[in-house]
Amino acid sequence: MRVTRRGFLQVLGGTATGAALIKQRLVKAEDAGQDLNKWATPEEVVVPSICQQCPGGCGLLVRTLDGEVAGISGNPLHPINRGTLCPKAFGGLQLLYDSNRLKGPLARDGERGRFRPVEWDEALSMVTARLSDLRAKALAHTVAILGGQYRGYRDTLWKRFAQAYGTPNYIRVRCLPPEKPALAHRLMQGVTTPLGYDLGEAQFILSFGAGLLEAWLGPVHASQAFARLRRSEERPRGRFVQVDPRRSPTAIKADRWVPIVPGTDGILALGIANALIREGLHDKEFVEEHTFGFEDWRDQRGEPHEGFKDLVLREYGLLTVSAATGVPVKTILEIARDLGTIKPALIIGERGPAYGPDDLHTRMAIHSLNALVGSIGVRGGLLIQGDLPLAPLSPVKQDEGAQRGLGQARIDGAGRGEYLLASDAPQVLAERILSANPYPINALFLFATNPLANHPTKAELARAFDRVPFIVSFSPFLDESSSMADLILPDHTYLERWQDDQVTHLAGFTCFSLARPAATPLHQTRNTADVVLQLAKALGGSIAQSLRWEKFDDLLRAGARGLYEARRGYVVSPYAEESLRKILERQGYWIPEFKSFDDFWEALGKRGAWWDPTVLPVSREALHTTPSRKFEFYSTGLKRLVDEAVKREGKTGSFVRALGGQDRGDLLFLPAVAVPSAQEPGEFPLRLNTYRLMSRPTGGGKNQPWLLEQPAVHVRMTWERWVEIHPKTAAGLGVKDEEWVWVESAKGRIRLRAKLYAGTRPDVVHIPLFGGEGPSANDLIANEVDPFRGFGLLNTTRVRIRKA
Amino acid sequence: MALWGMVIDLDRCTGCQACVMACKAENNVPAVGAGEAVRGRIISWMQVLTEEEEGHPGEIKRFMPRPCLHCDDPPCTKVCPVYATYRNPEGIVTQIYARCIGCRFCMAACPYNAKYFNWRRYQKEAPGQNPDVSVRPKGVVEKCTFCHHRLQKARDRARVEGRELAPGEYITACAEACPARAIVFGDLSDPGSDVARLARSPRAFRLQEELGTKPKVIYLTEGEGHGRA
Repeated sequence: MRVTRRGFLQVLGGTATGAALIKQRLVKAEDAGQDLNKWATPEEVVVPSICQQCPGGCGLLVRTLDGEVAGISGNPLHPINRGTLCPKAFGGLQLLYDSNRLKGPLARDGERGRFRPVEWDEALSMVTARLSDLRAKALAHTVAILGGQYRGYRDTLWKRFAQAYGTPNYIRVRCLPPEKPALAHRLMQGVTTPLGYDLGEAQFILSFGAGLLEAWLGPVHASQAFARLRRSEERPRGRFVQVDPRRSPTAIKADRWVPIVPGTDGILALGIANALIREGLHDKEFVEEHTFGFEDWRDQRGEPHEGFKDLVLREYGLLTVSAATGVPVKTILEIARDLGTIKPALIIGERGPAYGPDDLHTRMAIHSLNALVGSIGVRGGLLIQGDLPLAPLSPVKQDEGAQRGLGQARIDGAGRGEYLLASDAPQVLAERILSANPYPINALFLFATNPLANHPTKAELARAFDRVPFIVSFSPFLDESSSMADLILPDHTYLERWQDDQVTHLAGFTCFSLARPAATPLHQTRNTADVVLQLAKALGGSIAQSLRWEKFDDLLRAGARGLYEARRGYVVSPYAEESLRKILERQGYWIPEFKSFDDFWEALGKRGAWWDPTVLPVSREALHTTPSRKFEFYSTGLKRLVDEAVKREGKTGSFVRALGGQDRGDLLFLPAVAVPSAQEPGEFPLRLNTYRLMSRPTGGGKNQPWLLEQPAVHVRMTWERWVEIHPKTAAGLGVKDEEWVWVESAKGRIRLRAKLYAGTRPDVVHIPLFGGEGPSANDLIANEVDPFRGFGLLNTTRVRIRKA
Repeated sequence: MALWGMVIDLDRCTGCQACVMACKAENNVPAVGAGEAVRGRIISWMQVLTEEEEGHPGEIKRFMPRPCLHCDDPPCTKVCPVYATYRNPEGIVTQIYARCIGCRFCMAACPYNAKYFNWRRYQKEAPGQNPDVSVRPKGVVEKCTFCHHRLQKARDRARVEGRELAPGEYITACAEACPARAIVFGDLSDPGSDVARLARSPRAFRLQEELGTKPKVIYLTEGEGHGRA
């Protein structure tokens, strides 16, 4: 912009008291006049990036002015969010510019919690020295790496590092692994990738407590699908039913909110199955041709087994189900009739925290409804995910030290014994480290996780951390966990680094997102992925050979070559071009867009993602990769696992015990959920339910004032923490709105403000998971482990409330 | 002359508040802090209101995002003694901070509580802000401007390229962010535009129509039916 002196003076006269934002600084207009250079139009560059505030992985466009970030918007080309965003995305600006970010590496100075700044070289040599030393002493397996919620090549990198170095202890601490299939889906359908939910094409959605419109997998994608369900040009308004103890925002938007006794979702599902079968509304053709275990059957030895149908008709009568779940018989019947008559229907029963003590069978029961209505492998139903055709990496080189280390059992016991089916069991980590069972941990790496802030076992973990002689944290902040570390090697925030995301959930298509740094790093921080490569190089030998990339973006580039060479899919493009490509590809024409890999890579960086929407396997056979090639009401996969475990450990082995004992017989392999006997209210008369707010990012977002101030509209609360109590319950306790109360459980008590909220069952109180400092619902939750997910049972705790 | 307006489909809206945050980021609306928040001083040009079931207090029936409704007959402009707020020829009710004397008459006059007062200088010198919007000092009233600066930019771009402003070239930050695409923004005077078409829907209603303010933010109610309108 050219500014003449005359024009400038006119501007000055017009806004004598005005001020302006110039190059990110608030300046009075008069002062700005001092230096005309400041008026020069900054260079505006828009850089695609990936939101990392939740596992949704939405595409971003970051607006930068002379290298400084000046705004975030959705990437209109990105297939996951199509240019739209959720409120969390904007908090990324405050995360990036948080004044409390660490400015560089810190080393422990004397006692834990005191730090001195160090140079990167010194810090890295400290880690290298420790790691080489442990390896030399044949103690490589006593190094544990805790990873939080992230996906893609950062996961690959840590996995490779652990394998090359020689530790089995790469443990993920998170309640939801979005890149893995739910166990119930694995056992009943044999899938190895998560199922896709074709929400956008469904005409009826029945959700068992999934926070579809708040915090379920990808909230933006789900909201878009919901909007399509409600209002689209080509079809009538779809129906949506939400089963939830709480009238959540999702339940408010539903056509019907079904309040339920917490933990009885599986029983309700079986009640609905009963009604479907009794009224003949199930998809008989699908059940007959594509399922196993529906009717009674005989095994190879000729022994009779009860089928799903007889079990459901015998055990889950509507009166029994209604009494257990608190859902009226009429409602159950109406849901069943909707399910049986509106096509395509989709039943969702997947969420982070467990449904109750028998989480596996609950999820199996819910999933069996999808089979009953034949919504598997059809449009508007459940789809299978394709794999990304990323270039395979060379096998990890393992020397003798690595092999010795990897031969050891994992510290958390995942993959063995009672945790046979869990890929990680962070819930028992504290106890195992404290008892040095099976060995003490000598070094701990914390990446993208802050377990001491709000993990249910945080008190035990804090004691366990005391026992670990060497802790390295990669947190960009001095948080509860990193302040216990011996060394902090701060990571960039996501707008400053190279990264990828491989979110493949929800819609069925595969998608690879790529982000190059949008902002120049503000501080002396380093991309942890680069640091891992540097460590590997310094450790040398087979470790360096296994991680031979110079920089993380070299690895990303190497992987993306597979996408280029796959001869399918394409770099995201404007809608018109995309439609044309889809039409052509469906007819068997695939036209390469790029002449060379360099062009492809360049375009990927500029547009932000590669995807392949055309190979959606909308076919029934593709879904059933179980031993019987059918959907299994009776899971032969689980039967085989149990039989093997019995052979290995005997009938009282830990895995069989974790499943509930062999005396359950066939019920172990069927979606059978025990109807709980009526309980006396006792000392703790209320049930505690925790939930995630739409506006809380991974990690809690305590450094993002916008999100903290954003009110939870259903209770009109901002900043402060609260517990939701039904007005009737509150009246009985003499508690008024906004009064302080103690919420007490057998484990502990926390002080919160009471919010009277009529949208709940009167015997349940609800506390959102806030994250960060302050009283947390997790301080009340007993450390009970779900053996199949290795994670805590977060919704089984009973509490009482007293006025504070 | 264009007549800028907005349609908000309450059947699509999920109450997620992406619009609220997109607005804050676009217009440099800072968080006021916990202490100011309890005094009711949160500034939120776009705000998600809730409506309760009649006779069932506390049972929320629906969410209702509320920006400034940019009334065609705005009560706020008539009471402004200094012409700091006025309806511009394209129907946008604008606010000129340098003229505002902080009397807050307009806040009292607005039936929708869409105006906010800067009790302190909330906006700090901080990176990550949008340089396209005006700075608000302490003691002035502010509100939704339909992201007026985006119109200026879009118009400048069109002028440089020697063409007319294309439909869809200027939309507000809230409409851009809305994941459910519940917010549709555009020119109400163009009968072929999406926003004008939706505004004619049988589901359309305006907030407190009886006051005669003629809001240009039009809501679509929930209900059975077919198609987007």
